[in-house]
Amino acid sequence: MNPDLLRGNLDLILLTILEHTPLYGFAIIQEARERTDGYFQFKEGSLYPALHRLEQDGLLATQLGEVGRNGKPRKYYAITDAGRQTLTAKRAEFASFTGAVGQLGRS
Amino acid sequence: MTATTLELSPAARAYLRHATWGLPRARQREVWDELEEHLLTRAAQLQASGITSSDAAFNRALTELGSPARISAGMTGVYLMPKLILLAGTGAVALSAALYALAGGSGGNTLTLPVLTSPSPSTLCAPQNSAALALPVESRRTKLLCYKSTVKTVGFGPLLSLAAIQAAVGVYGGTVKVAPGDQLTVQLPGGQTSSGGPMINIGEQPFISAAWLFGVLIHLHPHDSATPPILSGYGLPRLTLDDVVIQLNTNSDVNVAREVYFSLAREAVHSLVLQNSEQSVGYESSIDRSETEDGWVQHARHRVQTSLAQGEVVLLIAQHTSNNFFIQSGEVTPDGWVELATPQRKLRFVSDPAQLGSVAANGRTPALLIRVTNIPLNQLKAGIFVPRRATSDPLAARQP
Repeated sequence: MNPDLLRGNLDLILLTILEHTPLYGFAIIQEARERTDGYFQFKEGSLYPALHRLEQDGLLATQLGEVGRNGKPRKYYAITDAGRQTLTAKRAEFASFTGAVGQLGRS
Repeated sequence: MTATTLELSPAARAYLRHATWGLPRARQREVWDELEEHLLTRAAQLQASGITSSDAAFNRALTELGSPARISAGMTGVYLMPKLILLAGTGAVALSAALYALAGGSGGNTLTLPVLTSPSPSTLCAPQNSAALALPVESRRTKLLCYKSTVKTVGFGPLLSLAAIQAAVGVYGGTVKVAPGDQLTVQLPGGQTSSGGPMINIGEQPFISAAWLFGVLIHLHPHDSATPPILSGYGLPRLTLDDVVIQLNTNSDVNVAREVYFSLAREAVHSLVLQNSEQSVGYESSIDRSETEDGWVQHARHRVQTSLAQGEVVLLIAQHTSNNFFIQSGEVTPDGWVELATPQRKLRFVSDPAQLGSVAANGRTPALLIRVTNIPLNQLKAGIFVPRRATSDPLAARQP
């Protein structure tokens, strides 16, 4: 897919993936691939700064989970109430945009 | 998935050092752990899928993760920018723009720092986009804003604001503290510190020598680093350190270049000639004339043909006496020439720093030429060269 589309909608994608289940970084990438049959090919290095930014903005919260392969607890990201509100707004925005583009195509 | 016990490869450790380099210490460990866990999990997954060598698995995992500089810049944008905006005060807008560029917002990892220069004793000039000074404006040019000033900046050379220095040091996760006596202390995450100063107050903002910043960053960088510091550019000197470029916006003022490369040349003498001994020596870098026991001596102009590319910078080092060195820098022209002015009229270029010193029977002073741009600064010796013509006599004096 066009990487600009992925980059421009990264927050929407991450908040959607985390909407129902907290996940850690590597699992988020796996989940995105599996749920879209490989359509989303993240530049993995861009994922972590985005997760940290969403955390700093209060849209995600973190919690420590089971011990990982490096012997330290994995860092799980969970959506916050503010994150859910943002997700709702971003979904509406995205739907309006794609709807408008669709209308252009039909006219 | 089969549980596989893996240890980070050296390349993976270097990657993590690089990716976390620009972060405050408190965040550094957290991001390291998170990326380490990612790499170990992915490498184990790749091994389970048939890649037998752990090195190959790590290399693939590192490639998938992408450039460590991009992660470092991205994380720096998250954790450092708000703090720096608070620190920067009046310089906040310029700094946030610079850090936005650093975070990849404008496509590059370049931090551009505006340099304050003094074209005359009563004038100070800064690039138009730098923070305004509380001084009366003398003139506005296309790229330059000049102020009237009574502050004596002689001896300080081109200047950087404290906010700019904090921004540059902050990129590498370091801090800048102001000690009594207006001395600055820079500390990097590994614990290395370097002090310098003093500062000078201009237009209600503290400033410090621009050349000092490059010297500190080079000095504090780990000597065994896989990514050694590299300098480039003369009119606009740039220091590349861990995939981040610190660029001095000098409005192409060659006086800034001379200061920056003079500072580097002193390091070169210390390491190459003095073998890092604590011997106390003096340095001179005047452009036109030097004071000797016989009075003032007008410098002789030397034009040396090199095989270097346009824009490379060459240092000339000659030894006046056992504890006094003369230093000059010059930029290579499109046709490979470099012009250098020295108090010594006849030069003989040598390849070994140990040959500096005594003037030969034919009256020629040994001089060392070192290419210092686009080579690792921890291997300056590799930049020493002897031109095809190994001696030089002065050019005819310029017509008045």
